[in-house]
Amino acid sequence: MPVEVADIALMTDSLGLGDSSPNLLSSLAPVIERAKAGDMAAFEQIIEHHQRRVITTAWRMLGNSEDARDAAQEVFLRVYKYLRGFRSDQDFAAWLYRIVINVCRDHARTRSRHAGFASFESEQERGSFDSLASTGNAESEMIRAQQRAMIDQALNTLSKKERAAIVLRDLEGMSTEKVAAVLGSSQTTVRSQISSARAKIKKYRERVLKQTRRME
Amino acid sequence: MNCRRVEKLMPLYVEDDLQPALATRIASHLEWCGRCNWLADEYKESQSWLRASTPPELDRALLDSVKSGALAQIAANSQRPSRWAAFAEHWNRRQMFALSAAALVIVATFVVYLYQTRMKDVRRIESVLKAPDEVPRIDRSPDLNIAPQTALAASLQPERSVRKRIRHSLKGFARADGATEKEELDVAQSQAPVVQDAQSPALSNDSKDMLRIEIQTRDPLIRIIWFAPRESDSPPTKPATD
Repeated sequence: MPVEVADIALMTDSLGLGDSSPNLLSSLAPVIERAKAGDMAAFEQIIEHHQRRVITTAWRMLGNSEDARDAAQEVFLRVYKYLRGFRSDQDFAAWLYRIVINVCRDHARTRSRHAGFASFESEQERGSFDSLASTGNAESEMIRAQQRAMIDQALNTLSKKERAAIVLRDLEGMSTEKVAAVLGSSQTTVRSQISSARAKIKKYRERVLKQTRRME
Repeated sequence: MNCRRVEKLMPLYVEDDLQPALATRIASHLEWCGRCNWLADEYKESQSWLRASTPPELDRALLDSVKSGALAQIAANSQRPSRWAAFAEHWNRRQMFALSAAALVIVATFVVYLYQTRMKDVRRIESVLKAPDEVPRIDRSPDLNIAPQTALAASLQPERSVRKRIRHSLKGFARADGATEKEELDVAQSQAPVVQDAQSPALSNDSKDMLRIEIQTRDPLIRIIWFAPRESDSPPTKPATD
């Protein structure tokens, strides 16, 4: 591993999942420029830096680990393809997120089998990321997986646009302004989508809680 | 601010997505409204439930597999020739030349066809505009007191369609040379005489005491024919229009 790659990986780990702080992004600017010029080592650094966040976002958008993995590969393929068109005055993170959202939309469209929700059981059968990385006890893993499946079902009650808006705003922690830039919509539209999505999720949660109480 | 409005704005209020002024108004409403307070708590719980889902753990092997998969796809794509290159490699130089020539001929034929279609329209319009006399006249009835209504209606019917066609064609022309439709019509109308005073040869044979007056309107296809007795003090007869 080249020294620069190791440095970037270290910085990424210390800052959490692909933190896009201004300092880090400014340090990545020359790397992006070199990748634009066709330097594959620089492109590998970009992948190293962003892949965690790309996979996580894709998983939240698709609710399925296999598709998230495929989508992440497709994202980096598109990044490589369109990197020459990226202007240095643009926000790279926003540009990358836009690609992620577009790829996930394409995946959801082409694979109709994922139009329905990914149930907890089906996720367990296919083997989620956790089963690959499981180190804790099985019971806590099961509870976490069950909770994820429930949240995924809640997200499945939303439209595609609402899901993208809520994932970026509430789960990825972006500002409304940035979400609007990524989705190519106005801030008012994004606020409306977020508002509607939060109301639907609240309704879904209430329904689940009622069912749970009835079963008890 | 009433409860209904607060209820609508609540999903945005709980995550500070509202403008400060609006958020302050909602906060002051929540100070005394228990029902809205309860709603706000529900939204907050729902949001924390949504955020409780920790992102899936990604181990090094998985990340490496994604990275290597992406790089392998990139390498495969860069080795694959472009569509044009893949197309061209099936054809030799002579075949490519023949194909290009055929494409050129097809394009040229299409352009000539378009040009000729346009010129045909131009010629047809010019012929209509330059020959307003072709419009049938209603001077067949020797009895000047009976208006030939049937003949008039029959002769007007085709003229209307011709007029429509001219207007339609002139629209296209106006776009082509920058002139408007109205300007084109004015040019066409200026070529026709506005007032014509002549004696019909047919009338001069049948009734020499009648005067035939033809008035060409601004529309080249409408002409008013008026018959009046030669005496200056007698009233004119009913006008006929063609």
